[in-house]
Amino acid sequence: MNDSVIEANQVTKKYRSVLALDGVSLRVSPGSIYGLIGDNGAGKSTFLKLLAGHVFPTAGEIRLFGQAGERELRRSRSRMGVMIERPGFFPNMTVEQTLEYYRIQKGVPGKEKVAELLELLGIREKRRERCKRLSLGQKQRLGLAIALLGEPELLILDEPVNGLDPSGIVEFRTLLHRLNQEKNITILLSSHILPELEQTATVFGFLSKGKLLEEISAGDLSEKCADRLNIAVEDTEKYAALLAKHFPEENWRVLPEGTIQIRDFRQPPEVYSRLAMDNGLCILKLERSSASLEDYYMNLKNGGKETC
Amino acid sequence: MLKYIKSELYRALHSKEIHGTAIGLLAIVLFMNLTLGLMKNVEHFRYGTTSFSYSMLVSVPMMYCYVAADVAAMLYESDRRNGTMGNSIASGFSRVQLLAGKCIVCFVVSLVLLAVTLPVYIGSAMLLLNASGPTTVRDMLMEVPAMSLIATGFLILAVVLLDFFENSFFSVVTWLAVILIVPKLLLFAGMLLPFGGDALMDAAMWMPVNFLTAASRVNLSECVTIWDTGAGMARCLLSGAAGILVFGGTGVLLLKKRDI
Repeated sequence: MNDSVIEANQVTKKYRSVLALDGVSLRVSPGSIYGLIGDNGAGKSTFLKLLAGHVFPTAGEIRLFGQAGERELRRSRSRMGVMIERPGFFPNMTVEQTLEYYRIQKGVPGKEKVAELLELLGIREKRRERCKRLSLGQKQRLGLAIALLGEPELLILDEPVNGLDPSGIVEFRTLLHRLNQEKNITILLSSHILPELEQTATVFGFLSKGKLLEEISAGDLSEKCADRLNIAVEDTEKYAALLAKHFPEENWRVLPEGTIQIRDFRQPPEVYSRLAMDNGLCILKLERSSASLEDYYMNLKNGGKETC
Repeated sequence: MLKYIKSELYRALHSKEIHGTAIGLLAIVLFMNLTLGLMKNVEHFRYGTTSFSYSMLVSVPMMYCYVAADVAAMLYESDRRNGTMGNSIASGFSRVQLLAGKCIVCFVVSLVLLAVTLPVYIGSAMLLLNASGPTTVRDMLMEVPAMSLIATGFLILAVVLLDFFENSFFSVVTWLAVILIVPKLLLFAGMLLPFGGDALMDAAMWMPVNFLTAASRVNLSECVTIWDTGAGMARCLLSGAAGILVFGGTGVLLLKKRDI
């Protein structure tokens, strides 16, 4: 029994001489929200296109819902909802007609599903509008509505918040969480907006130059990006010497602006402030912070072995 | 595949372009017959007859192919660019199913356009024009089965090329080359080559644009069409069937594993 919704084994994709994906292996577990992270050209869209059947792998194997092989993959795809690169619609058809077209195509019974999705995605007032007249954000919503037709068990979304305004992004995040938690839909999404992804995904996969650098759960990531303490004092050099003398086991560094950053600090913060004051140093700033997904990604991309 | 066909028929039914084409075709035939009808009593005007009106279509049987290809272009010219093809593939349809579905939908839409236009064409001619001359309703009606398979073959070619090329311009140019230029070149090559020319000419004469032109004489004094004879009709049907097989097979080979 295979318990992965998506399983990629050593998947390689070449476009003529360009190696877009190089032996990528990853698994997406049921019920997870998997965030695929990478720069432009890292291979994110190619990977999603492989899953959607838009392109064929040069080597390797893809399994969807435990099924491999062309015919089985096609059957499995009917359990997916997809929006890759841009929502697919006919410019001259209205929003309602477009959804009705896909409802017929996916064999979804009952016209009420279209009305339900229009309501859910907040585009009900636009139902008689021609698709070409929609704003970018409205097009994204329509794309998601198309993907949600047919009660998918797996949603694949490429840059889904592109073009959404800030409130649209929040609504979208809430919607994804609802779909994930209430309907148990597994979600695989890619995004450039890492802070957004950080709040949405439960697992992260980092792609760079066609290779999967790392897969990490949100829990492990927050453990790795543990707390830091940033201390700014009058005399950085003196304080650094004090730190080295009194707490030789601490992992600290001096940031370019002169702040001392202690990672995974072992003592309560007041111990570090007392150390400064007892030695006649005035504290200019003392703050706790944790590394972001962005920091982690940048560090990983640069080949860093540090935690964050 | 049935679901795909049903969805595409829904789209065709709501397509402004298809509605526009139907209205355009009706307007053209009505305008032509109305103009001929108004002019028929003018002295020395010889064209106010049903024969002349019918001959406009009977003398250009390739019109069926052009209209069929136009339907394909209207429905599928931007299928890949719009991302709609990607959605269909992601829903679990194979490329071959999509190709077959598109061809069937184009065929049905073309048939509907014909069913709407032809009665208006014939009816308005009968009502407005003098019933005389060599070209009759029978010639026009027999043209339909004669051209049905040929037009279907070229329609399939249009769908294949629209799917194959990202740029529609290349699709149009290649389509025109295959149906018009290549047959003519083969014919001329057959005429000019000192050896093997006969075989080449025989092959070229199985290509619609060549045999339809060579065997037809449609004018004010006579109406000779290739589908008048059993052998001529058989040539039309066989050539069309071969076209369907060749273009359909080529489409499957070209598109089965094509990345979009």
